[in-house]
Amino acid sequence: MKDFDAIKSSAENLWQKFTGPEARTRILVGMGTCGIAAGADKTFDAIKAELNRHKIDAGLVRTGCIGFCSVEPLVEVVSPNGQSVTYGRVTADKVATLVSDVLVGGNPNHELAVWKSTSDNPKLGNIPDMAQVPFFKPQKRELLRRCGIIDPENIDHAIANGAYSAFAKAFSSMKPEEVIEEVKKSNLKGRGGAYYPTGMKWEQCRAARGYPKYIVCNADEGVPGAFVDRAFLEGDPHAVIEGMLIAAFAVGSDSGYIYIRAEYPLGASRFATALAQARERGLLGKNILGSDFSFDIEIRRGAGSYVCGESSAQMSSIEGQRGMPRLKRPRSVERGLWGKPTSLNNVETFANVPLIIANGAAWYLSIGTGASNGTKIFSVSGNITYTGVVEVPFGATLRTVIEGACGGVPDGGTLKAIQPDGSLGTVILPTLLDTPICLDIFRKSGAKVGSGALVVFDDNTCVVDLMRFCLRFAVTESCGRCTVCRVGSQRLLDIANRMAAGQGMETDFQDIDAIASVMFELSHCGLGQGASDPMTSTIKLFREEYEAHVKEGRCPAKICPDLIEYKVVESKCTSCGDCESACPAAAIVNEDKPKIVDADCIRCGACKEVCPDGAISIENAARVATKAGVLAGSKH
Amino acid sequence: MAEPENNHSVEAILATFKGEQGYLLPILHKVQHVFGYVDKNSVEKIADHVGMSSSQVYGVMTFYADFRTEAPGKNVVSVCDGPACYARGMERVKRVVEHRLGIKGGETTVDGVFTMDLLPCNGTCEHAPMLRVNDVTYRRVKASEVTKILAEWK
Repeated sequence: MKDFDAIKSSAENLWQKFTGPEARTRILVGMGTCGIAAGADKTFDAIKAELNRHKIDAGLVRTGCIGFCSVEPLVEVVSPNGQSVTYGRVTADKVATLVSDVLVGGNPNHELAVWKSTSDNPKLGNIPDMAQVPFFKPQKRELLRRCGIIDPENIDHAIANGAYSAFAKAFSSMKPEEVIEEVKKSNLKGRGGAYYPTGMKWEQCRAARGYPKYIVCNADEGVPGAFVDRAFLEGDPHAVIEGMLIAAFAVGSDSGYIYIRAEYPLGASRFATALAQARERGLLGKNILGSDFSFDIEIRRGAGSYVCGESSAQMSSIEGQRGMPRLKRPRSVERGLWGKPTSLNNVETFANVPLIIANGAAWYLSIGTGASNGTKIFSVSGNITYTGVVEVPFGATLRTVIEGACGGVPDGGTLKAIQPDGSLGTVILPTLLDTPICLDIFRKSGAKVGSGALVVFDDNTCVVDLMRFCLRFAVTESCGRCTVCRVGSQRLLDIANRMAAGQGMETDFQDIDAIASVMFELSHCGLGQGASDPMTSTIKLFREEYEAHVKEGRCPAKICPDLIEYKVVESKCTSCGDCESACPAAAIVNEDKPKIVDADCIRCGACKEVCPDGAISIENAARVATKAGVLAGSKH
Repeated sequence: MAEPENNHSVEAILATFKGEQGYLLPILHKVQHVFGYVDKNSVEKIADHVGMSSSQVYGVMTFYADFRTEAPGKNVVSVCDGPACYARGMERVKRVVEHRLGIKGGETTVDGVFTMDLLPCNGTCEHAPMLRVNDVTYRRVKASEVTKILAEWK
C-alpha cells in the first residue's frame, strides 16, 4: 500500500510540526455543540483577540468534545516543551487573565486548571493528572481516543493518529471474507441498542444476491438523552468513515449513506468536511488508493422523527418516503434500501471496526466480560453532578459510571431511579448499581444496556408524572402504522394523566398490563413493542407510589400539579413581596401577608425559587384526595 | 428566519437537485431553510420535480415534525423536551412559557410574535433545562426567569 504510506507519512510530518519539539504553543478549544452552548465560540474569539493583542504566535485549534461537558468551555494549552494543562469553565470573560497568566507570564492558572497531561514541573503544583481526575479515572478511552485531541476538520490530524491505517491494512493484506471473519471473531454487537452481531450482518449482506449493495450508517440517535454518536460526528468523523469503508470492502458495496438527525447540524457539517477531505486524499470515491475499489458516502438529514432510527423506517426516509417501519421479512440485508441488500450499522459500531482490524479480534476479546466485549460509551444526564460522555469496558458497573465518573446525584439528593435507554427504556433501581454492565446480566435483571443514554433521576421525581413524559414521547413519535401502538400508547398516556390528576382506578393496573402485552405482541417495531416498558417496569418497582395517586389522590413526591398546592408559610414569611413580583400568573395577592390564589396558580414554583426565607411550601391538595377517593370507590 | 432570501426561488433550488424521490427530504430541508416553511405552491413544484403527486409530497412532509406548512412567528421559542431537562424542572418552566404566551408546543400566538416549539433532545444535557429563542440559548433556566426572557423578545 504505497499510496497510503505516503499519505500517512505526510500527515505525520504535519502533526510533528504541530506537536513536536519545534512546534508553537498550541491552544485547543473544545467545540462540540455542548461546548458552544456553554460559550466556547465566544471563548475562541476572545483567545484569538488576546493572542493578537499580545502578538503571541500560537496554534489555535477547535476540537470536538472530550466528554466532560460539565466543565466546558475547556481550553487545553500545550507549551512547546510539551507541558499541557487543561483549563475548565473558561468563559470569554476569563480569557484575558488566562492568556496573561499562562501565555505571557508562563505560569499555570491554578484557579481554572482541571487537569494536566504532563508531570515533572513543580510549577504545576497539585493540578491532577488527567488519569487521576475522577471523571476520567474509570474510563477506557479506546473509541473516543481522538475526540477532543485532534481537529476534526483536519484529516491529517486523524491520519497521523491512526485513522485509515486499519482500512489500509484490511485492503492491502486481507480478503473481504477475512475481514468479516475477524469482526465475527471479535464478537462485536450493534451498539444502536439491538446488539445484533455485526460480522453476521455483513456476512449475510455479502452473501445476498443483488446489485448495488448499500452501507448505511445510522446517525439518527433519536433516543432522548443519548449523545454518544454526536461525539464522533463532531469530534472524530474519520473513525466512522473508516468503519464504513471497511464494511463496504467486506460486504462488496460501492455506495453508502449516513443518516444524520436534524438536531445535529454541527455534526453534519463536520462530517461533510471530513468526507470532502477523504475524497481529496483518494480514500473515498472512485478507485480508492488507485485500486478498482470504489465507495462513496452521501449524507441524508433526518427531519425530527424518532422512529427513523429504526432501520427499515430509516431506509424509507432515505428513499424520500414517510419513515414507517415494515415487518422484518425479508430482512434488509436481503432487501433493504431501494430493495437492494443493505447493511445498516450504528455510528458507534462503525467506530469499533477500525480498532478490531488494527489490533485483532483477540485484543478486542480481552476487553469486556463474558458475552459482551469491547467498550461501551454512555451519555449520562439528568440529576447528575457531571453530565458527560463516558467510555468504560463492558463489565464495569453502573456505579463506576454514575458515581465514579459522574459524581452521583448533586445537592445532597438521593438516587431514585435510572433509565438506561432513554425515554422508552425500562426503568431500574439503584440496587442494580453494582451489577456489571453486560448484555446477559442486564437482561436477567430485566434491564437493557441499550444505546447508551443513562438518565438519572433523584428523589424529587414522581414516577407517574415521569410516565406522562415518557408516554407523551411515545404518542408523538408513533408513526401510526400499527393500530396497537398508535392507540395503545395514547390509552396508556390517558391512564397516566388520570392517575396524575388523582382520578386513577384500581382496574387501571390490569388495563395497563393488557394494553402492554397487546402492544408488545402486535407492533411491527421496537417503538411500539417497548413503549410500555417504562410504565410496566415502574409499576413493579414503585407500586406504592402509583397506589398513593390512585387510592389516596396523593403525589408523594409532590410533583403532579393537580394533587398539590403552593402555600405561604406565614410563620417564615417576611412580606418582602418577591414572590408576588416573580409570579408569572399573577396568582399571589399581597394584603397583609402574601396569599396564593389556588385557582390562578399554574404550579411553576417561581415563588419558591425566589423566596429568600424558604416560606413557600408545597402541600398535598386535600380537595382532590376526596374527589379521587369517591371516583376510585365508585368504579365497578 | 421567516424572511425569504430574494436571490432564491423554489425553481432555483429545485434546479440543484436531481428529480428523484430520494432527494425529496433534502429538497424540503433546503426550501424550508430558505423560506422558513414550505407552502402549498412549493409543494406542487416539488411534486412535479420529483415525479410524485402533491398529496404524496404533503403526506411525506407532514410525517416529519421539522417541516412547517405555515410561516412561524417572528420569534421561535424552543423548549427542550428531553429527559434531562425534564429531570431538572422543565415541566415547570414550560408551564410559564405556555401561560405567558397563551399557546402550546407547535402553535403561534395570534399576533404572530411567538411560535412555541418542543425541541427533541439534542444532547446538550449539561445545560438542562434549556430554552432557546431563535438562535440564543438560555441554560439552566428557572421558572422565575422565563417572564424576563420572553420580554427581551417582544
